[in-house]
Amino acid sequence: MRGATLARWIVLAVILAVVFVPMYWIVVTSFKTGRQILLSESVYVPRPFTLDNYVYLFEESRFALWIRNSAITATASTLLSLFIGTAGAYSLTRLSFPGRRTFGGIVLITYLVPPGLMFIPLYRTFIGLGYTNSLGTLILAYPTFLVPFVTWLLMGFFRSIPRELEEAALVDGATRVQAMVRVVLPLAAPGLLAAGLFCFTLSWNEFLYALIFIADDSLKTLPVGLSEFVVSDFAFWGQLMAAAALASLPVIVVYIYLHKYMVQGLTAGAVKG
Amino acid sequence: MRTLAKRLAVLIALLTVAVVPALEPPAAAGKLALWRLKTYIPPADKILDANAQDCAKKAGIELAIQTYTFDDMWTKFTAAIESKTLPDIAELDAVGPARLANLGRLADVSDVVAAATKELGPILPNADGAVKFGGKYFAVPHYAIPLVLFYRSDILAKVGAEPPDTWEDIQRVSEKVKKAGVQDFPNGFPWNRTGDGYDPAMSLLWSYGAAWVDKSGKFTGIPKAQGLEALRVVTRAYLADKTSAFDYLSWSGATNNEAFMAGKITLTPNGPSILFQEESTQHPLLKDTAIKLMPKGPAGRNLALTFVMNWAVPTDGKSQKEAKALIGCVMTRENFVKYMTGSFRQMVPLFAKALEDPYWNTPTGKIVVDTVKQGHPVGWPGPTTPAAAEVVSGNVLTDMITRVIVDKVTPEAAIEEANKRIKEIYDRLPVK
Amino acid sequence: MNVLTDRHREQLLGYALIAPVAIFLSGLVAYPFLSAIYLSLTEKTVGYPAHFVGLRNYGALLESGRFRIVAWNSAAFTVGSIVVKLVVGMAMALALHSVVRGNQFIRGILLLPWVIPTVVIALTWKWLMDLFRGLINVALIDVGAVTSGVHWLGDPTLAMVSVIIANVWRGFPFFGVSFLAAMQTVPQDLYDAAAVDGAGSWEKFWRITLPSIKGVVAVVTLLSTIVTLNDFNIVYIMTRGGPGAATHIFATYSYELGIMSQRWGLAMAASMASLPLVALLIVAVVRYLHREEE
Repeated sequence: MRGATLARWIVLAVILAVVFVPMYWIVVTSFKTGRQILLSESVYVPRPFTLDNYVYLFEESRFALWIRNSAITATASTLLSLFIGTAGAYSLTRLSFPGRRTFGGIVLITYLVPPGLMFIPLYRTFIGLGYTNSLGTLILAYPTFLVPFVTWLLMGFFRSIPRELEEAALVDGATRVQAMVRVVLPLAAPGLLAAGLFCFTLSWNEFLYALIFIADDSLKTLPVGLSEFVVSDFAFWGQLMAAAALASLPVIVVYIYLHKYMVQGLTAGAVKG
Repeated sequence: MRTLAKRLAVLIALLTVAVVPALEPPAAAGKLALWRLKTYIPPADKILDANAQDCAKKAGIELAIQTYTFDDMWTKFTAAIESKTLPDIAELDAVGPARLANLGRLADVSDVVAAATKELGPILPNADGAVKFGGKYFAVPHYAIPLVLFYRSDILAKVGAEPPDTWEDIQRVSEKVKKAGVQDFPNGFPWNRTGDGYDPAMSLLWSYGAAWVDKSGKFTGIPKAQGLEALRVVTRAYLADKTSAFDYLSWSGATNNEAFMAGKITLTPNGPSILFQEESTQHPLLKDTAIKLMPKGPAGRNLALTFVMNWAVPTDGKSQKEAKALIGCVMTRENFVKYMTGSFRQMVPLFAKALEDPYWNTPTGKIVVDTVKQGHPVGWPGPTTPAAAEVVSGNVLTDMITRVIVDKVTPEAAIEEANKRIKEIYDRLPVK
Repeated sequence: MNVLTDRHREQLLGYALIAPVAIFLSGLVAYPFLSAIYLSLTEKTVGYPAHFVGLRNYGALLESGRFRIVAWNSAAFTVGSIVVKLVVGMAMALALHSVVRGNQFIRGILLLPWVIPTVVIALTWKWLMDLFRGLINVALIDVGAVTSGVHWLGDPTLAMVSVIIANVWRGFPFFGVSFLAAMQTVPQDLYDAAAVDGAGSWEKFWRITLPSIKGVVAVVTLLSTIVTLNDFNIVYIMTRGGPGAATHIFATYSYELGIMSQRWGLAMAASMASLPLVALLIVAVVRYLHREEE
């Protein structure tokens, strides 16, 4: 018995250490001066300790702008995907109409079309629509890989909610839509939250589409902005790591607060879906 | 749960309201858009922007400046080419003018070049190949960052070696340094997918008489004997002598700078940026860092000049007259010299009189100017054509070298493969 | 006036609610996908119009030595990453399964890699593995484990291992958390009964835990395989596919063809290459799950 417990703690310790090391390296590097980094002085602890990199982020680079752009894009994409996905999931699990099964299958298959393949044809589609170089382009593009997942996740969630509850509401005189909004959605809240967090994270992190669809400096999102710190002959590691730390902070904070729901929702979807 | 739902609903509504205004594409009415390279010399960039805005104000136009890095340049331009949204003024790289002019997407700027010639002297004859097509100029050369050979003078002195002048010398010197136990992998020649890779690759082939085109720019293929000789010389470092580490092959543009300044390599090809970085950080190795011309081979010293930035006026823009006027203003003697002298000797002009400026009259300045004067454009001995552009941007030459080094393909097979690829490119993009 | 029966109303509502999904997916997924297929049958250089060439692009790829290397790398990268993620994820789930104190907190921390932007992860691992100044080599040299830096990103084989490491670091929490949740739905009685029969920890795991969570394992593995097979960021940022083509995978190869060589037709053909594999996997997993349900 004790051997097993010891093994468990060792495994946990190793995994925690592996998770910790890169994050430690980001933070440590962000407080070093350029010269220190170049000459590999005082590798483990920043000496001298400096806030210059963080100051540079806000004074010289457009870091705040990138955060704003990413926040707008991620939020809007999330909302759009949740709306479309929830409606779709409800329809596929609770209502019956001809072609339902086939359509359900198609929705899931589209999840498997990879962004790495789609970036050129999707870009051509937007060019054809005459709508490029705007955050709106990204807000329309991101749900292409978010909606299928949201739909799938919520389908699993809706299935786990007993029909009797809705039927009771219907008997009480509510319409289908009212039943959905008043009974089903609140119960599916953890699933919605999980899906929402998932959408937000993926949008916040997305790089390829943001790189290609946006030309204007003032519309750059965070991941694309980060790549600016590598300027052909110079990699400004100190500033880059400072930007990396700050870029990760919002999502980390949100997750630490809400990860309980995220796990709940994710596993309900995975286990029952 | 109900209150949560209500709160979420309110939050969502608020966010939606905040988001909607951001959805409009930025208005471009009455504005000129200028795209320029973001360089590693922020002070120089600032001077350029100030000059450009000054010129814009004098002409009564609004100027919006966007930047791109060397890495994402073609991503950005590819997108713009396809969506027909190239900017009014574009700072293009060495192959950009050839590509875009061939598509008919650039305006004739011979008049701007004529005006700049009055201000800064005639364009260097070797710079024409990249910007002059069919007798007309389709781009105005802005500056070049030449590749020179960096070496550690202290280490060479220590092992009793002369600064290398030929490609063979480089291998010999590296071997000496390694045998003396000074460094494990002193030969920092990176055959990678950056300028630090394809520029020396061209210099190498040309120095062995192994160009892939003739004087008119038509395909001939890399001659086998000369190609083999060239390959043999440089793959030695990785395969036989082990004076280069495999990491050097996947270096980014910055890594060879960092390795040199970290004291890990003795020789590397690079733009003058290493000097700039050492000077600005008072680097301990500054006194031991020396430069010389890139090496020569049996067919002579045929250097490549591939890092050149050129001003162009894409025809997507509706204000070509104003765009040309702005470029002319930025390239007046006063403005250009201000920029040049604020560039820490990194941005070398391609106009004769500007090159004679006393600013370049220092030991390192002379070497840098010499390289620019001698350097040949992409596609030498022919002009820069879209096909030549693709040979470079498709990394055919460095791939040929790494096929031998990494994939252990025979040099004969690598050359054959490269020639096949090059021929296919020239078939697809015929030279007029 | 009740012209519509309840059933009709339900159907109408069904269509109405599915309409946004349908419109969105057909306009921005199906249409571009079909256009991708068409593009892959053309020669389209950027700036020039496309012209139809049939299967020539596919033929060129099949003949290309480089493409074969890319396909092999993609398989190695995917299989390697998935296998390690499975093992680590399972270990993480098992370890957290019976830990009571701090379980939530540790699980929260272990989710962080999945949350941090991939661009950040790729850049950080690239910096960690820097030959001369990266933390890993500096530490290894300091403790005397090696005498000179390990060529994490320079040696062709090690480079593949390194990008797999970064991919695993990012992805294992998804596996771990999913497995853990699934494990926690297994009734304790099964374990108690097994204990009575004299079963040890390993047997409990192999005979009870694993079979019970098979469904989740299959789904998670499938999803992750698809995502990993088309991953772009990690390899692009860490090695750009180098050294040579040692870490070049479908996504980076397609990008290189499309943006550097400006050949969109060929780039699409290269991306399509991963689809047959994906299709096979899906069919296999779906069949497997259906069988399990019976």
